[in-house]
Amino acid sequence: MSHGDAEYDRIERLMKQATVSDLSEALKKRVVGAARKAWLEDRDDVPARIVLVRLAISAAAAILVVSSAEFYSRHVASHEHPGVIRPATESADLGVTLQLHDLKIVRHLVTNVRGGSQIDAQAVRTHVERTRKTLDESPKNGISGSTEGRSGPIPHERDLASYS
Amino acid sequence: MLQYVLNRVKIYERICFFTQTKSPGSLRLEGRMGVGAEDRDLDERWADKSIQEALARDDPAAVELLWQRYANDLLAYLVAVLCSRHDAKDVLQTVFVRMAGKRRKLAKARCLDAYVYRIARNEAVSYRRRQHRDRRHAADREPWLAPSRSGPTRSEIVDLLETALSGLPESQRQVVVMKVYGEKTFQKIGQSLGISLNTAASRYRYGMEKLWNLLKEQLP
Repeated sequence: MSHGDAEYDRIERLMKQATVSDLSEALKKRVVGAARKAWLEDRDDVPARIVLVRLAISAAAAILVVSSAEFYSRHVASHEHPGVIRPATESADLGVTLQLHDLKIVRHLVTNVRGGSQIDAQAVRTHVERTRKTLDESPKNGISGSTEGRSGPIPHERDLASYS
Repeated sequence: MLQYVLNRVKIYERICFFTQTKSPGSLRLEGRMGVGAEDRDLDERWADKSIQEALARDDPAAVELLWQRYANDLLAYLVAVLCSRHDAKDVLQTVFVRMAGKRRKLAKARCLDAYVYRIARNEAVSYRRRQHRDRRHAADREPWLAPSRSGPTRSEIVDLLETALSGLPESQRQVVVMKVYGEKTFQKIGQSLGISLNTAASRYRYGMEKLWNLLKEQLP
C-alpha cells in the first residue's frame, strides 16, 4: 500500500503535537559539567602519558639499534674470518679460544685468574726463559735479529723478578 | 568564504529553476525542503568547523558548542533508540563525557556528525546491554513522548503516538524521529547513521506507512 506526501504531512502534523526532546537547564548543567570534568582530568593525564610513551619509544629504539648493530657485526665478522669463532661464542668459553691460539702462558694466566689465585711467577719465568733461548738460537738459523716493526726484546730473567 | 559564496550562488540558481518550472505550491514545499535545508546545512557545517577548531585548540568551551549543536538532536535520537526519556538523559551524559575524552579524534574527524552519532549509538547499545544484564528493564517504564509546548495538551494523542512509535522497528523509528522532530534531510540522516540516502528514505516510508495504518482513525 502506498501513501502520498499529503498523508505523511498529516501524520507529521499529528506527531508535532508531541515532542521527544526537552532540554532543561538542569540537564545541561549536569551533562556539560560532567563533560568538562572529564575534559580536565584527561588533560592532566596527558603529560604523564606523553612522557611514558616517549620513554617506551626510546627504549624500543635503543634495543633495535643495539640488536641490529650486533647482528651486523656478527654478519661482517663471519664473512671476514669464516674459520674463526667470534667473540660472541668465545665469551662463552674463553679457555677454548685460547687453546686455539696455543699460547700456553696465557692459558696458564687465565687458569690462575679463574682460580682466583696469584700468578705463578716461576712458570712465567720458565716460559720467558725458554722463549729467549729460542730467539737466541734464531740468528744461527739465519733468521734476522732485527726487531724493527716487532714487539720489544724479551726482558731478562732478573727483570721478571719484580712481577712475582 | 569562496565555498560560502558558491553555495549561495547554487541556492540562487535553484530558486530561479523552481520559479521557472514549478507551481507556487511546490516552490513553497521545495523552499522548505531544499533551500531551507541548504541554509541549515551551511549553518551546521559552519558550527561543526567552529567546534572542531575549538577541539583542536583543546578549549573546554567546545563542550558548550557541542551542547548547542548536538544536545537536542542527540536526545531525540537516544529517546527513539531507548524508548525512555530517563535512560536517554543518562546516555546523553555518557556521550558527552565520551566526546570530551575523544576530542582529539573528533577534531580530526572528516564528518563530525557521523562520529558523534556513532558514539551515541555505541553508548546506547552498551547501556541497553547493561540494563538487560541487570534485569531492571521495563519494570518502571515512564512515558517518553511529551506534549509539545506550543501545541494543545492532548494526552490521548500523545499516548497513542508513543504506542505507535514504540511499535516501529528501531531502525525505522530512528529515521522517523530524526526526520519529523529533528527536521533533518534524508541525506543528513544517512550521513549521521552511516546509511545511504535511499535506505533512510525507505525506512522513513515504511515507518510512516505503519504509523498511517495505526493513526489514520485519529487523524482529523
